[in-house]
Amino acid sequence: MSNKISILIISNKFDFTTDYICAELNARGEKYIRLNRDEFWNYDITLEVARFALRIEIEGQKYYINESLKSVYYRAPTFLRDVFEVIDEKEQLYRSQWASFIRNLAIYENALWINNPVFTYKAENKILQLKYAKCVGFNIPETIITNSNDQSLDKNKNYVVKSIEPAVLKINQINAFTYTNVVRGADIYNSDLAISPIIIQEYLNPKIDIRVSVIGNFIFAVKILKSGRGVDGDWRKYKTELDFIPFELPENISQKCIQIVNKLGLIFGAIDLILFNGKYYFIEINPTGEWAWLTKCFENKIQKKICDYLQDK
Amino acid sequence: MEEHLLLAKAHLYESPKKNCDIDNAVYDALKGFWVYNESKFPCVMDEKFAGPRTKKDDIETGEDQKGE
Repeated sequence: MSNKISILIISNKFDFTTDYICAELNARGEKYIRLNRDEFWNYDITLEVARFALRIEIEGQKYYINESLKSVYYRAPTFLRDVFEVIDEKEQLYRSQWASFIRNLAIYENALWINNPVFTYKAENKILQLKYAKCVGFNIPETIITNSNDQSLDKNKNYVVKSIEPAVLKINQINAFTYTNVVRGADIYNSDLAISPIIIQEYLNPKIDIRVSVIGNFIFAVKILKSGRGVDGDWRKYKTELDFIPFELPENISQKCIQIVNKLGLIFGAIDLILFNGKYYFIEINPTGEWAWLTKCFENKIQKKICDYLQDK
Repeated sequence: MEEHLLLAKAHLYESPKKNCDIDNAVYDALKGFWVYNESKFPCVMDEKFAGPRTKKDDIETGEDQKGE
């Protein structure tokens, strides 16, 4: 006897953010299944293409999915970042073939995807995000992307410098990551940028960072403060000293947040804004952004709203 | 000329621990979440559970787990 599944969840075993969704769906008595990308060897999976029938066996329990699948919660990368580690041939095969398999779940075109990886792939591009943000009426910081330090920058002013895409590196066999940095114009002039483009933005300071989690037409916004004030530079450098304060965005800014998520073809988006000099500036949107760190602030309403969408409520 | 800014400013860090099981808990593959051994209560719904309470857990590879 197989159990027919209404909601498919693609994640991995240690993604606790997905636990919130599954715990909520379980409490609601929903028929869902979670497939973890790091546990495929524990599953028996067969996809009958002619009937779009996906049959799955986990721990002796049988499940099936067909074209009536209602929704997919997709917590998987759309493209993989090279972290330059050596892996054996089994691991290489596992990664490439299962990654392709879950991409091919795109056959369930009638399901609601949070988010559809096709749209996530497009939305992950920061320069395109800025274009769309400007298009919906957001203020955006003055921005250039360049591999030349021959720019008309003021050597005595500060600028924000960041990577176009999170730069995950190995430097002398040690892991490295690039935060957003505040850099003097003189230091940009003195840097050899030829090997890689960077984003240079105007430095908006003092500022307050704002995180906006958008789910369809719903908004959950927090201010990010340290000792009651905005954080100079990248707030992610401060791990435990921050307060996340829920607040209501002005209606026109909320609407712009909803619009850009919609314009990018997404249901969910985690938007970073800055409040500077009384004006809201769009910084970026994360189509696969984290939200579990905000569940407490919003009394578990974020996962409940995501589940509402997954259940088409 | 100095080193490229993204290299000069890179933050070095130890490899995060991967696939660490949780004390007193087990992953329930049928329910799709971690539960405490005895109570079967979802770990993430426990105030004391040290899961992703801040964004710090994902700073090093971005938010999308693309760095596999």
